[in-house]
Amino acid sequence: MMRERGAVIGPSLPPMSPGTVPVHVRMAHLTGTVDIAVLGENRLSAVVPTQRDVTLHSRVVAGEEDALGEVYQAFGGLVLAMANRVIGDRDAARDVAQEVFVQFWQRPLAYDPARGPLRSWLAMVAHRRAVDWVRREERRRRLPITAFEPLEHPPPDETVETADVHCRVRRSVQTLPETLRAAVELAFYRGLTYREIAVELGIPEGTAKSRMRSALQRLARSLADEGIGR
Amino acid sequence: MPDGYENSLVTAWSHARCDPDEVSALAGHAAACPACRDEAAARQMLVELSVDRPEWEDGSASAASLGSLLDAARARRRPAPAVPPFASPFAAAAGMVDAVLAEADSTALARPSPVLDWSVGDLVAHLAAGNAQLAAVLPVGSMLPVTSVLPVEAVVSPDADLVTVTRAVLAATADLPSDAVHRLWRAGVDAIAAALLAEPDLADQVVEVDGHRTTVAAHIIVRAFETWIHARDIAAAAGITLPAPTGETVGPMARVAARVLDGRPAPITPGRTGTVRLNLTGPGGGSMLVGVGAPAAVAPRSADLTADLTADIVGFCLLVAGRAAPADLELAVTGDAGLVRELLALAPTISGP
Repeated sequence: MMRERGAVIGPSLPPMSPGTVPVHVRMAHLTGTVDIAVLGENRLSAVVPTQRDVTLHSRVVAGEEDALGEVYQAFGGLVLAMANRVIGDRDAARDVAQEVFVQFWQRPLAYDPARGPLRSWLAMVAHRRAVDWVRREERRRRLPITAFEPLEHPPPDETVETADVHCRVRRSVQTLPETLRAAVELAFYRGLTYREIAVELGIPEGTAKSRMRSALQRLARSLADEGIGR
Repeated sequence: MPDGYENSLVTAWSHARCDPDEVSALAGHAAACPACRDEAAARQMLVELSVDRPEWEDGSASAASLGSLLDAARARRRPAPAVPPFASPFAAAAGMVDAVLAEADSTALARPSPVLDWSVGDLVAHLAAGNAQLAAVLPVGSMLPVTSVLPVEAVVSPDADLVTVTRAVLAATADLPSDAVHRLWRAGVDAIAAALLAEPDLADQVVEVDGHRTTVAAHIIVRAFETWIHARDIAAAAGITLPAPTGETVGPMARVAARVLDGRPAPITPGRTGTVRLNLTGPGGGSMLVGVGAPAAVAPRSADLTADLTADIVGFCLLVAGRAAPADLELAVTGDAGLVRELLALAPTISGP
């Protein structure tokens, strides 16, 4: 009859002999186990992984979707807060936060519990991605306006009224919130598809579509107020 | 600095655990190193956010956003296949292979593996071959996925042992890119999973695969074991550490290994007999009796127990797989040490390629 025993975490450790690698260190490397008791024996003891980190990570590596959900429930708020601190735009921060977890699912072995808690790792990734987002936006804003302008002079057969409408549309586009303006400019002045916009902005395709919808609604209202499009 | 990893000095600084000389050194370094400066800023922000604040517990992990996350996640990496509980180690091991292959580039896949003359990339075809042998005796539908590249006779012929079938798959896929072989392997995993999910009662059916006759449940654990071990081999070639499987995954593997070992003849001193109580520690662990020279009695007398061997469960499995030697493991032995040496010598002999 097999007798099940409870889990044992962290064997008792022999004193280290100079010039040797203790067998428990060799064994941890061999088996892929994380000895939390050993990791705790340094001044970073507040920043060691928890047993939950270790188990959740193993389950995500094994392709368990429930484990990803648990990671998201545990750390989604922190990751969103980190992204929002950097970006200052809730919608963009949500997109960045989701991408952090999607990337963790896609490449779970990029995280190694032996090097620190999952919470810290996710937060660092969120910070890095949020900074990348901000830098991309800054680069886009520095691009000359002519990159997004249609022809400066309307074609000869275009009427004055049509040219005027174009000018008013361009003005309205410039008044849109940053995230919506970027999507509109990529669609109408660079001719990108939703998918291409999503790739360019580093957002999910669904988000690209919803931003376009919001932008067009605002533009329609703005232009209707000016008597255009009625 | 690898993405997301901590500079230990920056981490210590962010937790106010540096002495003044270390702070001064870090400040001087950060002035010239944008990566460390960014990291210090991030660490400081994380410490500030570490005090629980209700403003970011705002339901961001709502059911709606979780659903959106899972949809996006599935598009990037498929989850482990759905299987009945007895096959969950097989599904988990398949997930590990997917995770490892996401990290292994062509250089890593070309490195030699511990198996015959195969590269670690060849191990994916090898796993596909072994799965095909099991799938051939299951009701997987009209076509085994592997028969898209080679005839079914190559899998089911009486002469088709695992090495032969592997070589046939390797030859048939030689001109395919590695991700195509990955997809072929995964299609075979999915076919087995679907067959088992449709008929969970298959678990108790006794079938012969590659000359081994046992239940489907035991065969699937053997497949899980092999899949996990080769996932480790690929990970090692890619320079990454595959985390230890959970107790739910490694426990059944260890128990099947102990059952296969039970009763095998002593390899060092022929004719030697005795019973070892194998105590496996760690998640999924437990105690089981392993007979050397004769099967262990179901209810042994105390005199029959001639030795106790205590080992970490993952370490024991690696010993069986030939990926660890006894000297690499923390073993505790009481009683007949000679009998334990017999068992330790037997362990790696039950694993094939």
